Amino acid sequence: MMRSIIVLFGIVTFFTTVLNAQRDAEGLVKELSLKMQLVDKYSADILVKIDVEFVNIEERKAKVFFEKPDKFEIKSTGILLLPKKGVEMDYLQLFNAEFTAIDEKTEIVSGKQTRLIKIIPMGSELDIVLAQVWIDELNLRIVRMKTYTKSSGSYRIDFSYKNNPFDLPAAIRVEFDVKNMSLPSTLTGDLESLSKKLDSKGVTKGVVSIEYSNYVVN
Amino acid sequence: MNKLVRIELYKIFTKPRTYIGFGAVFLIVVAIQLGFYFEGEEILDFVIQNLKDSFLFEGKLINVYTVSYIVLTSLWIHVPILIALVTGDLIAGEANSGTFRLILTRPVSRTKLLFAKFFAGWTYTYLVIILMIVLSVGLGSILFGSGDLLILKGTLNIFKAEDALWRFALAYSYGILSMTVVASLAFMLSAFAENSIGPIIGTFAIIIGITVISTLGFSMLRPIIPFLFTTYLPAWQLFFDYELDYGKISRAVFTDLAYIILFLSVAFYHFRKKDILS
Repeated sequence: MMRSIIVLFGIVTFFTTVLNAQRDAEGLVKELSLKMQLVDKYSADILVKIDVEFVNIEERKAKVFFEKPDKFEIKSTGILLLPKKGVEMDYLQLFNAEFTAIDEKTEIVSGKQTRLIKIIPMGSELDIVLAQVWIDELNLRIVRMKTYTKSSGSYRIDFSYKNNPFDLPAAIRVEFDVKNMSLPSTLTGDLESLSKKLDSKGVTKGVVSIEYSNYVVN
Repeated sequence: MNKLVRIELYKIFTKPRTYIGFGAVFLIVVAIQLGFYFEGEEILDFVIQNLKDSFLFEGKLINVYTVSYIVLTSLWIHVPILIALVTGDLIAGEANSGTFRLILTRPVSRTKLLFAKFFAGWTYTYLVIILMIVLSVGLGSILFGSGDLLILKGTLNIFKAEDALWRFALAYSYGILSMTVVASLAFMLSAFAENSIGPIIGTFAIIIGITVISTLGFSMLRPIIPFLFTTYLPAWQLFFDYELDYGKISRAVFTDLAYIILFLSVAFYHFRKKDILS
């Protein structure tokens, strides 16, 4: 009898702990989402550095404009190349939709104690199928985010902060999948490189770093 | 000497065939630019559709520099033909019309006469390239405006507008040098011929023949390919490499200069010894 009570107590304690942890993870993400929603709109100057195997481009200056919920615009005088996912804050769609959050573990990232939380969207309409978010619980900031999408593979964003209003990031570093491709040369008449193909391993990583300055918020 | 050059220029510019070159350059450049003006977005979308799967492009992709680069790549095949059309006629044309004996009775040395003819032919070459620049950059600026230069050259190279300008200046300067090689070749062949068809067709045949043979028999001819002038005709593209390869550029320039000296030396040597029968 005593043994059964101990087992039952153990089971109840286990599930209560797990359920509490889940609720906590969801609560934390929702709290973070609410903080992000305080920003109705902003504009900022950006400095973009692109590091992709087959792309040669110097760093570029541009201006970004954001308006709630997901309007994002970049104005650049020259040509600017950005990864299709990650820089336009498309992860906000995930926070604004219904999701399940699971606490995974705690981890030190960029010298900060973070909680790694897995977020799974409930609907199937979003392009994001899974996200891992490293949250600095103390400052309520995302330190890192890894996102898996249906259409564009996965990408990882590392955020760094200074004293910007509403804790908007001072810089982000987006690491994303790039499908290796053979660039056409026919239009340019570059016969020398007609037979050149980029590494055929399938997918490589590209990195885009963006520094934000001169935020004007709301 | 100036008078001789002026006379030779007068002869060149009174021949209708001279204007075929200018007309062809005008038509090709205007056709490409109008094509890009009306359907440029679709053409470029098609070319970079692979990239658009992974990247967002911001900014003006179709602009004066991108279109000028495309014009250059389209024209480097045609321009040697247009150059040979005039420079291949410089000496052989006189032989054909039977005016050499009359000219050479004047107190002018054969070397001076030949130099004046070559200089006049080179001026024509220069003017054809200048027309290309004026049309590409001038008309392009009106139709498309300025912007960064986007090039697909094995890699995707994007140059700032101010960076594109000096690259174009160097590429066009190199273009003048490489077309001078073609002019010298046609001029040399012209010194050996009695009518202009031979040197003109001969120049086409040599350029196309060597290019085809060195492309198809690449493995067999590999050791001599670096020494062929045809290898360096499209070397203006080297100025659009992200990191300039000064070694390759110098090799191209020195090879071109060596061929110009060789072709002109043969032409001068042969013409000075030539028995003028017509």
